[in-house]
Amino acid sequence: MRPIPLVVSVILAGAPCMQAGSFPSERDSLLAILPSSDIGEGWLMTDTVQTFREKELYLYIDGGAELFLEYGFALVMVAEYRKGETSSIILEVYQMNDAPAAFGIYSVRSGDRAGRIDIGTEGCTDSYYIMYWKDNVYVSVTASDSSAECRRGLETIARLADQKISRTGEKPAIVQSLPDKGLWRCRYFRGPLGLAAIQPVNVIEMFPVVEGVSGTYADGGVILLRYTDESAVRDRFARIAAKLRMGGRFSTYREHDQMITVADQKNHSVCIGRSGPYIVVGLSPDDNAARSSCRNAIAQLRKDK
Amino acid sequence: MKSPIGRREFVKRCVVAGTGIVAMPSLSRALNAGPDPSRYDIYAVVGDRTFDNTMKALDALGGMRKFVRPGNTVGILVNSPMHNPGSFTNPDVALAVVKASLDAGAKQVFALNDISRRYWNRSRLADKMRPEIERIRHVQDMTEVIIDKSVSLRKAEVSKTFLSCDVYINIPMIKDHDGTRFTCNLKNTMGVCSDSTCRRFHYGEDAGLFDFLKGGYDNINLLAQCIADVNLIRQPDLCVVDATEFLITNGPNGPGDLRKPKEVFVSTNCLAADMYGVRHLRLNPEELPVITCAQRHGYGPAHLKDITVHTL
Repeated sequence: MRPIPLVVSVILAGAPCMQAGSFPSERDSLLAILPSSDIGEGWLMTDTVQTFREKELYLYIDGGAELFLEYGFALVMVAEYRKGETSSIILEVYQMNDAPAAFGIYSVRSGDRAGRIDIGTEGCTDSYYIMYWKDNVYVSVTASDSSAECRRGLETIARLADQKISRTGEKPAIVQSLPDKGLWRCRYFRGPLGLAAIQPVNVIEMFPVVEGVSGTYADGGVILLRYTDESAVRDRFARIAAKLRMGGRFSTYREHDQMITVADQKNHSVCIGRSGPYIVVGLSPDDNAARSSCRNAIAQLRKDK
Repeated sequence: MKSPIGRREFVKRCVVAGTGIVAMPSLSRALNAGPDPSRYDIYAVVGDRTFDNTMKALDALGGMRKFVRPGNTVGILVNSPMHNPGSFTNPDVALAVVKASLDAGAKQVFALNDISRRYWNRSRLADKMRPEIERIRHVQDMTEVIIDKSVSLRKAEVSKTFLSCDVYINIPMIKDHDGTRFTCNLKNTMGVCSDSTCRRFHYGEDAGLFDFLKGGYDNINLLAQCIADVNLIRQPDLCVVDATEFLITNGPNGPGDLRKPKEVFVSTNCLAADMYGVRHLRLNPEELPVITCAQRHGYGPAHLKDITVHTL
């Protein structure tokens, strides 16, 4: 049966108010983040705020909900601000289950082309959007176009929402296990969709994992996958090795120093090793660099331990 | 002499009898398009004037009259539900298809999914084309069909109009997608399915409550297979694809990085169009499960080299 989204009415003049519901505290705290109806410069909030909880997210972003659910999603509130006939800005405030989930969603959705912006614990912007994470909240503000007036509206709304979130939130601990040197981007995931968004390959063989992180460096990348325990890693590592030995999309299978090296279809090197509850993947166009990335990451994990 | 049954009558009988309708695609082509020796041809037009370019691409394919005959009903499936830039089919593309269909003598244009008024208002042509927009009807009318030759999706609840319209025109956009890595014609067909059918794409026919509560794509290959399977019900007579501006990250809803090739392309083969379209996302079609599942169903070309692209 089709779930019915909760539509929360908001009175245009004055502070937003809401209908009684079954989860008032969550809604209250999230609703308080939304800038009130008139934010100035002619931008006015339209008369409804939509709320989607857990599985109802399908109704809002059919086809895009799964990634949020994979990280752990609780509730989203969506408000629209309009100026004149054609300009509009959509504010989406996603309450995730914890701060690492909010960071994770932000980390895979922030684009390579986006510039940094000092909003939230970490934020980025492109011509028509601003997104950031703070505490357990992921915020996306999107304009209908990239005109100067929309840009100003975007920033005003994003900053007003940011000011209402008091705690900053901590990144997941696994992020600290990535080697620091040369790291320019790190992305955190909890399932295959998160990893597929980072590394567009069929990654099912690696799963299930508890969590993982991908680090991008000038000469390649490192992926750390954390499993429940060391025995789970041994089992998974053996399965991955068996799969890679069969060839398919990978070639030149080699084993040495308890690491496996293969070449992908673009002849890039993939080196896979393990340490404790982690499987470590080093990626590089160069064979030695991939092995070196893998070894360095394993050394870092042992140091952290 | 007994007259041969029309396609609509055939569909009605299939639905009433509760039988599969796997004969639809070939029948559809036979009745509407006639013999088509150039099934894997793509006609692409690049430029700022999206409405005009869509018309130009349609003309290159032989004109809308090749597909729509006077008195026909036309079903359009537009990727319209999302609102962020690069996440929805440019309404000028859809408006061009509507205009061309009506000019060709279509009796009625049906929207196979619910298209909001606000979607059309995103077009600068919306006021000028208000009479045409007002002629588009949407009917919420689902029916269950059995898909005889499917691999994973044994049955689906789909729009009755999708089954009964004389001409089915898919009007997707090419863009990134979190699960399937891309969406175009094949994936857009989910738009004619009910919510409960779409959920089965994610969890399988025998999914229980636990599977549903777990959420997420447990099996991306299952989703890909179901998308290929649902296209067995009926493939488009015509595909008109928007590649003017689209998400290359964070699809299907965005916001994310955009690419703006300003291209519209048309084809009579949904798989050929998808295989060509994913090149805009710099993806290799042979690595995408949706494409490979559709190829196994025999929808279209096995290789990119089998497709001929005419850039106008």
